[in-house]
Amino acid sequence: MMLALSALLKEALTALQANRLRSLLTVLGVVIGVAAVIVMIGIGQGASQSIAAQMQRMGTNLLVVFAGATGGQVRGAGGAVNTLKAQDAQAIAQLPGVSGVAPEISTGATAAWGNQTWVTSVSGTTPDLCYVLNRQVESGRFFDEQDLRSLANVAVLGKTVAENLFPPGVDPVGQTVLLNRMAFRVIGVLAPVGATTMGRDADDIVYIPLTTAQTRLLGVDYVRLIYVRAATSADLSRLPDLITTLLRERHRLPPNAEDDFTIRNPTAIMEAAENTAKTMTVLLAAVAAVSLVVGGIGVMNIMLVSVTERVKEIGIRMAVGATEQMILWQFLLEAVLLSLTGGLIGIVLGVLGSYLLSALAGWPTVISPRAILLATSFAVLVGVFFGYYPARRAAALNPAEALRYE
Amino acid sequence: MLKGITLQVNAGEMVAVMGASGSGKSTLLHIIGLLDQPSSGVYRLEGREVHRLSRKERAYVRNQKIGFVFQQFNLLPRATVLQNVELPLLYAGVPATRRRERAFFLLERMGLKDFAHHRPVQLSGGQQQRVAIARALVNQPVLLLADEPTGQLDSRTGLEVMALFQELHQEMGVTIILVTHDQTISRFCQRIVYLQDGLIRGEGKVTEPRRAKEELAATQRSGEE
Repeated sequence: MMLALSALLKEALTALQANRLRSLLTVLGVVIGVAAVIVMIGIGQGASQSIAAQMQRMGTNLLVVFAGATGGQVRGAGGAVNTLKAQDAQAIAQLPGVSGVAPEISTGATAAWGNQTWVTSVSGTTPDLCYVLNRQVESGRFFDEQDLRSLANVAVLGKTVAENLFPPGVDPVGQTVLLNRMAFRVIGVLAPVGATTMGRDADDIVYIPLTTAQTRLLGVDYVRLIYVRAATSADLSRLPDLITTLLRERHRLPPNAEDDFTIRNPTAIMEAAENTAKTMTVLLAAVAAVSLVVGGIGVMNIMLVSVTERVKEIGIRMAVGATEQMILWQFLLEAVLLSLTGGLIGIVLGVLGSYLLSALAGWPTVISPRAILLATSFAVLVGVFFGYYPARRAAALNPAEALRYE
Repeated sequence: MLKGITLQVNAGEMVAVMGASGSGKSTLLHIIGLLDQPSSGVYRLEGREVHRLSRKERAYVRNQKIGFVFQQFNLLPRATVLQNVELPLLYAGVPATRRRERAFFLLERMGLKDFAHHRPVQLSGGQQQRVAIARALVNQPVLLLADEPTGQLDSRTGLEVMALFQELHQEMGVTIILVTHDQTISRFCQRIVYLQDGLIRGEGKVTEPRRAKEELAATQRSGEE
């Protein structure tokens, strides 16, 4: 049997080549199906990976405490909620399992240098922010405790701001910029982190000392949020309760009162987003797989036609000694060869399509060997599944009747 | 189609089965060739009861013991002459080089060596039938079944084919059963069985079978004169 297999394979190839156009049209469904599976998995995995990369960059183990309650009542715009103080941040820093905190208050501002202006957001924070949010200084330095105490008018620019205010060749460090018409000396530029998927450019920001922002820029004594970095992921899950207790105590909330702050876990949010992306991947792949099945039906259709056309040939083969199994194998091989060919063309198209999507639409796509393997084996499976019935029919023919067939 | 007949063919015989269309001669040939099964009765080939074999076993017997020659040649149109002749060996599981050797040997015997890589349609009817005969003999069968082998050929080509059958019969000692409705063709065989309406109406020895080769030589001579 094995001996005949290579010969049968050759015969199957010859038969397919004899009807090249028809073979091609037949496998079109499989081609599209496989290509779709690869592109869809590519898109889905691309999305998951960019989320994962963002998580990696931001660092996990991060909590954000926002001022103001969640839920029904709107208590004014985020910036105007005045329940959180810098002292709250200091208190949180004392909790076990906290490795760093950074309070932040931000406002929209127009930055100007010479006749260049750029609308951005200005955040007042503390030096720990770099550690808490995993930010690195590209040139110059971040402000320190000294700057914080002295209410220094110093600013650290995000890359986007630096690039939009200063022409190439001008070192922003040491320059003086105006933030809402107040003069600040630029002491550093942050290393870029790339666009975030939340839609905000994390590099389009100016950091100034919290004290300066509160006193000189905004004239308030509260902060909008506090970033809390937990030492371990175990601490991360314990901390919300500790923080809640601490802040309720500090804010002297009666037991029946709502929290006047909200604790969010960005990692959890992103994990949810990643799970969504994964679910989408599976869904998209399933839709693509349906088209693969449709393609398989096309293969079956043509194989049935082919069997009908070749009844006489089957009779001749049986007359000279072909067993049922050999006829079955011959037609099965043809079907598998058809869908495999379609699969290979589909892989090429799918990879090309993924690249095009990345290049033209800017979607991150991933060509995973697993997706290719999956699509190919599925195509072969389709060939076997949908080729079996026609092959079975061919093999079950009565040789005498088949020979009489014209 | 057949209504209970008893027919014995001895090894090495050359028998003609005669009958009009509908007489059941094709059915008989199909049963003898194991292409079809009798609804009742016994068929022994080389003393072995083969009528109750499984489909797979019958395919094996067809492959090893029986060669077919058909009226319409029944060659695979897409395959080359060589591939057509090799086909029974392919199903017998013979290795490729051995297949090729054996097929070439028979094509040479049929005088068709130069056409090995042609397609059947590029050949004349007589040549195609010779390819079919080569295919029938490639597995060295004990029984050669011919169904109106000259039906599609002109009389001269038919004579050539009959000459070939007689030669093969003598050279190889292969048993030949030839089905025909043509009285003159049946005269080339040693024995004739007459079939009508599914029954054997009569049978008889041919006292002096025609010799195709001599007749062929005679027509050639008369053509030259």
